[in-house]
Amino acid sequence: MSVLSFGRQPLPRSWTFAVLVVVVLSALIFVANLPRMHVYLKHWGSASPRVAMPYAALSPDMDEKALRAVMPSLPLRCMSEDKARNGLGDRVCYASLDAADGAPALTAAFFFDGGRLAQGVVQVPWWGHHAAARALVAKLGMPEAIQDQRVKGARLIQWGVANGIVVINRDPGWDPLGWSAVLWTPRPAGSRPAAR
Amino acid sequence: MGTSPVPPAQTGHEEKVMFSAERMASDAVAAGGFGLVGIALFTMTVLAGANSSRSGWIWGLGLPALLVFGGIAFVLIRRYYDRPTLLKLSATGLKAQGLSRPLRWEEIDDVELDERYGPRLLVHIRRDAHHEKSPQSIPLKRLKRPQRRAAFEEVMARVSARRAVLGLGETRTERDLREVAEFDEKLRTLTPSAWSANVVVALNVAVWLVQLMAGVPVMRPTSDVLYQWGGNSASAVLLDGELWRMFTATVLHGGLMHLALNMLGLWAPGRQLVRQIGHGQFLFVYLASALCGSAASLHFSAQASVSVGASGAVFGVLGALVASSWKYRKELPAINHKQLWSGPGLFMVYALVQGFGSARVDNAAHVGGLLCGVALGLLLVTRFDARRSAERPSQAALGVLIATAAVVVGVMSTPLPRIWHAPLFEAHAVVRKAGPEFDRIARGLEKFKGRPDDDPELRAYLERDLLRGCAGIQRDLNTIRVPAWEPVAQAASLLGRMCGLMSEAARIGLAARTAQEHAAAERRGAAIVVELHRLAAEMKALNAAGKEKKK
Repeated sequence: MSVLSFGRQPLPRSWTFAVLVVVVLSALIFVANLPRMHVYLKHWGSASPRVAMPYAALSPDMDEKALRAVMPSLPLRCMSEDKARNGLGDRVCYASLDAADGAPALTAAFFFDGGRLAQGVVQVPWWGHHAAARALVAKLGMPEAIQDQRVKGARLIQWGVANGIVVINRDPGWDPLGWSAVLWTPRPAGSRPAAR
Repeated sequence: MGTSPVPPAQTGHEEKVMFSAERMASDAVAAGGFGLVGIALFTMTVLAGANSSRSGWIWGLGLPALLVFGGIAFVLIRRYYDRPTLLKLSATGLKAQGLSRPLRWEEIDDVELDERYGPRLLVHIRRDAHHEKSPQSIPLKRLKRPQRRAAFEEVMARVSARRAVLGLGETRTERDLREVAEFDEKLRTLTPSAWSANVVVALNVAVWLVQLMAGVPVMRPTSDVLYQWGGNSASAVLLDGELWRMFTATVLHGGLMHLALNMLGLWAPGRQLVRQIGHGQFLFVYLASALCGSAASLHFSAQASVSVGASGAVFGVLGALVASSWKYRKELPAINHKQLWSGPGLFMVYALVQGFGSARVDNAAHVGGLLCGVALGLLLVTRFDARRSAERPSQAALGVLIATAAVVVGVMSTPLPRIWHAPLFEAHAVVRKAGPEFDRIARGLEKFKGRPDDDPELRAYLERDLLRGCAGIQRDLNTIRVPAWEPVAQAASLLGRMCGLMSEAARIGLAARTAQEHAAAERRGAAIVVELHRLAAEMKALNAAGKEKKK
């Protein structure tokens, strides 16, 4: 049978069924991720910077100005936040990303508490999860701790950096529009790796 | 195997035919074995009794053993020489062991050769013969395979001839055998050879032979060797981007038994599937199941172990065969179903159940391959389905899309593993080399115990062996890049610290010139010895924990 004659054949019932399954699954995934869709639309719809994350330079002593100084190419937008609601800080600076350290990324967000850096997060799309982990190994070397059991729904891998720790979730999950996160937090003085 | 697919011969059947039990070599061997055991036990008790002057041993133990084992041997020898007639066929009927009475040919409705649970001939009696039990079973265990078949064919031919005289149609077994023969012929015409199944088996065997020639152990190669050859590992696939391992792992095997079991499981079902769906679709089912199995394995076994083997693909082939045969159950001869469930179906269930009970078996790969095979078996259009032959390419294309999606989603959703194989194996190799070297240096020091610091031999040993050796060990240990949670990282750190302390003590000792400096070196040396003992205890505990974990 030639390609042309194959093209003229009506699609068998199994194809119709498969297309239906794909449409239903896509719709379910879309609806479940509706609150996140604006991030994806922005990610796909406009050009965003590709950055190298300066984890080793991040410090709990940093203010907004110092942060902008270590990431001059990142067009950060800052706004006040309700700390009681997010539990992370009273102000956030964020920017859309195309890639972080060569791995696909959606956004970078930095939370400030009392004017000082409290947390930095890079949101990673589902398909970029393993690439993000590879990028962390390439940048920070071998990790120092790992969690085998879930704590608050996630198992983490941890790297130590100059003034804090960097963690990534081990499980990317099954949702193709779900997010993974690379999180920087200051390391409390004298603390040991949190998870072994 | 169920009933024989051999069609009965059509001959005149007036003469008497008898089938007598064959002499079984196993009876002679067993008789010899029992006899020898009896004689050996008797001799041992005679010798033991003579040495200890206790005749009770001979009467209480030796003689009964000789009588019991000798008796069994005698019975077996009699059985070997005794060749009773198992079946007697005459012009009028059949007389055989196992039948409650001789049967006339017209009383017999059907005959089956059942070779599943001890070979036997099942004789179905006609309902109007008013017989109390049907079918009746004639044991054929003492006939060799060709004689069994000959007996079945002869009985079947006579039953058929009599049915023809009586104006009755063919028996159910005859019809089954004819359908199987016709179906086999149809498949043979469509797919004359099963070369693709042979190629797959040859590929697996060839890879194993190449491994063997390269020095890989025949029976149980270690994980690091299998990893070097391309075994599946979540860390390698996800963190090192070595996706090719998902395929290479499926042509590698963890020893001869592993290879043999997989190839035996693949051989007959593979050839049957080739004939049903054709070469291209068979190779696609094999490859897709192998990759689906590897993708499933990434979530389980390959997280911690190096996974190898074609079992995912074998399960895929079995699943596709069972699913396709179920889908085309109306077109396939009924007997094929029986054979399918008592053969590949049973093997599949057994292998799955057995796998769930063993930690060494990669069951995720089995289940992943099986699910993929079942899906493709239900989807693909067989070669004998002329009605839907136009849909074959589009169904295959859909199969490719589904299998690709399954593999991609399977890989993308894999959790980051705890065990990072490449750095772990490298670290183990370094520590395996550094450990004995450290032991050699430490043992060398023992020789100089009690000698003064300025002893020329001691100074030469410290400079030449200890300082240089420890520098080499530390240089090697510094190359280790392994996650900090791995015990080997802690072992390397301990080894490095011990070498550092020994080097420090050696340097202080070598530098000491005055009495005060010697005294200071001695004090520091004593402190270092205490610290070394502490580190050695830590190392011992680490080794013990590692051994405990292995258990």
